[in-house]
Amino acid sequence: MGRNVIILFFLILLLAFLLKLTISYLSKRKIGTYPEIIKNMLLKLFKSSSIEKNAKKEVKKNKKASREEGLLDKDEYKNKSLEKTTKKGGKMKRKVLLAGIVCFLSFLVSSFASDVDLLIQKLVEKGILTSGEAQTILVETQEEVRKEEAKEREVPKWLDTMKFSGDARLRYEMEDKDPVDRHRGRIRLRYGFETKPNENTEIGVRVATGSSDQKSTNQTLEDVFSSKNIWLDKAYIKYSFNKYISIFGGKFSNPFINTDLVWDGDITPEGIAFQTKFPVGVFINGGFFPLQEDGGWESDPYMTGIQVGYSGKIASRDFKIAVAYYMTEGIEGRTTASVVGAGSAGTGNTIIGGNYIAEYKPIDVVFEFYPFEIQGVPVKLYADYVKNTESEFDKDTGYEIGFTVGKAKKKGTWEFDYNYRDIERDCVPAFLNDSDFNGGGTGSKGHKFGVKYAINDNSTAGITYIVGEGNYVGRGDVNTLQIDYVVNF
Amino acid sequence: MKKIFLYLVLTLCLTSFVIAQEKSIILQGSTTVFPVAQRCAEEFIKENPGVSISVRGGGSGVGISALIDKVCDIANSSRPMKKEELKTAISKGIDPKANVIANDAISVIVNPSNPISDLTLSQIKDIYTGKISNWKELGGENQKIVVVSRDTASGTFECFNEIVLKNEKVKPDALMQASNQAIVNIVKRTEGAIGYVGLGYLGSDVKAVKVNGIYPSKETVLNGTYPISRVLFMYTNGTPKGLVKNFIDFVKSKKGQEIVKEEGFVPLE
Repeated sequence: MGRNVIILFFLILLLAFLLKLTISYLSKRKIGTYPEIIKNMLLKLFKSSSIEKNAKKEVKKNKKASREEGLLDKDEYKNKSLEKTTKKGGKMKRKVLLAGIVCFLSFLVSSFASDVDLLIQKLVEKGILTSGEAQTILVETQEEVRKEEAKEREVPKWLDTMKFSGDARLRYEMEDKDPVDRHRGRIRLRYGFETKPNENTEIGVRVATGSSDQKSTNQTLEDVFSSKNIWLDKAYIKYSFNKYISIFGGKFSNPFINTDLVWDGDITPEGIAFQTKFPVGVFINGGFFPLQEDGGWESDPYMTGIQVGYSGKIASRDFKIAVAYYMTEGIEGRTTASVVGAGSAGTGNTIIGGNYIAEYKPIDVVFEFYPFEIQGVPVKLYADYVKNTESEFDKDTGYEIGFTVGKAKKKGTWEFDYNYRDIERDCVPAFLNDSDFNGGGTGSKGHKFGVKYAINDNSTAGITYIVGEGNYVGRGDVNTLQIDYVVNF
Repeated sequence: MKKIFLYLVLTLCLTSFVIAQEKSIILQGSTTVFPVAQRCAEEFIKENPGVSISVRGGGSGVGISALIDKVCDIANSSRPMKKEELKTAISKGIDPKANVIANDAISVIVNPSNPISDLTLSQIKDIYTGKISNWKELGGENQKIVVVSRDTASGTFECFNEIVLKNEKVKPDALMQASNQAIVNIVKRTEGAIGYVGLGYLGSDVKAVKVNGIYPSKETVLNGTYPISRVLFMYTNGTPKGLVKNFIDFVKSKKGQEIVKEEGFVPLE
């Protein structure tokens, strides 16, 4: 008996498995959905089971009538005792059937959980399951479904936290300069992602158009439709000890509060850096940045920087002040080419015999203040002052002062920016600062106007006009017009 | 040499076999499931001398965390695992298997002197959130309602919160209690008190009220008509095996379900 039960049990299992395969096949062939097919099959099963039950009832009824009429013979008594035995076997069969149902549901549960309720209800109605058994099966089945769903949703944390972002810019640029003006179309595309494989670590990667020039991601439209290069613009690992202290290494966003007087906005410094921000508003940023590698640690030029600042409020208005000290080491006496390599040395620094004549050790003070709003539009005042403490000559100071009104981000918003700057030729290394002002680099002064309008959310059209003037003999004057269309995503 | 090798292998096999034999299991979690687990453990040990079973409380959340951290074999829980718990478990390589061991109903109880005997789910919610503060508003006596609730760590609270409160906050002056028995004690002593406990804690000291016209009982729980009913679980890591399986089977057996019944819960059949 026991052996037969086991065989029956395995037969049911096999049947359930084959059934699932068949249904899967039929489903793929679009012959009804899982739930529909199963529902129909089981309903047919119940129907036939009901017919059988009714037929048995009928036989029983007839037998009772016969017995009452005294028509029951010996053989029929034998049959009766056989029926009893069958009843016993029936109990066992019921158990096997129950086990089969559980297995059957387990096989199919992930496919049509909602219909399991209906099926169980039918089984209870037909007396195959008690309400207690039904509830147990239902709940355990539901829990399996929830677990499977959770498994399906489980994705690696680094994938779950991955954020993609980028921007695309179309630019028309005109430079009004001697001996001839220059007109060019330029594109810029930057695209990357950041992800957090764990709570403390962030990894960021960004690629961009441009060239090996560290100060520009612009790609000029040229060379008869030739394919353009994509460069690695960022690749870093950032480790945050807590919400106050982070260190990062690789090629990353500028860790310092700055303006384009000292740092071109396109530069992504390389090396290691840290950022700290204390609850009282004080922050300290710093870093070590190799500038070139030419086979010997002693002679490799590098740059370090440390910045201390405070971010807070004056009369409930936001303001920020930061003082930074930057220091190059190993560039004095070296040719510009041996320092910047494939990068851009920029224009303006005093270079004698092709060599840097001194290190650069500028102190930089940046100030930002939001003093008021005009009809809800924020106004920002900003200033930057820099003095190179290591210059061999007097031309060691630079400053920039300006304001920004509004912020072009959401559709219909606008922004206006103006600043004036005077950048003496040795106040900062020319490989660091703005590449657009007066042709880029140091030794210039002048005005910069910019207006932007958000045509759509995250999409702006803007015009920038720079009135540039050289501030030493031999430095030309360049007025620059830039018309941009930028989409952030 | 061969013989020595053979003996060595045999000894290793035997040692492994002896080591592999589980002799103790740890259950942790729901305070509601605790009495059933405790008594079942006692009976199981009687039938299986040499086996050690440790039953600890702490609440369903604590038990599930312990299962996820692999510091218990069975997590007793008076609620299904939350989505986040399932995710955490899976991410840590745990395969939580829900084993239903009993049914329970959360009975809303009042002091026996209280004439109120029937409340709707919405009225109970209003009492617990503070919108109704006097029995007079429900047709009872002019008496302030003293709200007694389980603390938020308990599975009983989570079940009550989900079915009755719909995640609204319990009024701030409610008396939050750490156990079902503590709630019974307060309600039996305080005339205007209302509380809620597992079906197993009902007794003559307190009066269970009908909810939406349905009295909490085995029948109304099994047929699904009583609105504040729930299932009690013993979660295991994967399909139970060995001693854990034997214990779960015991809890689900006729003898185990007798204990379930004696403890005032609704057996599986």
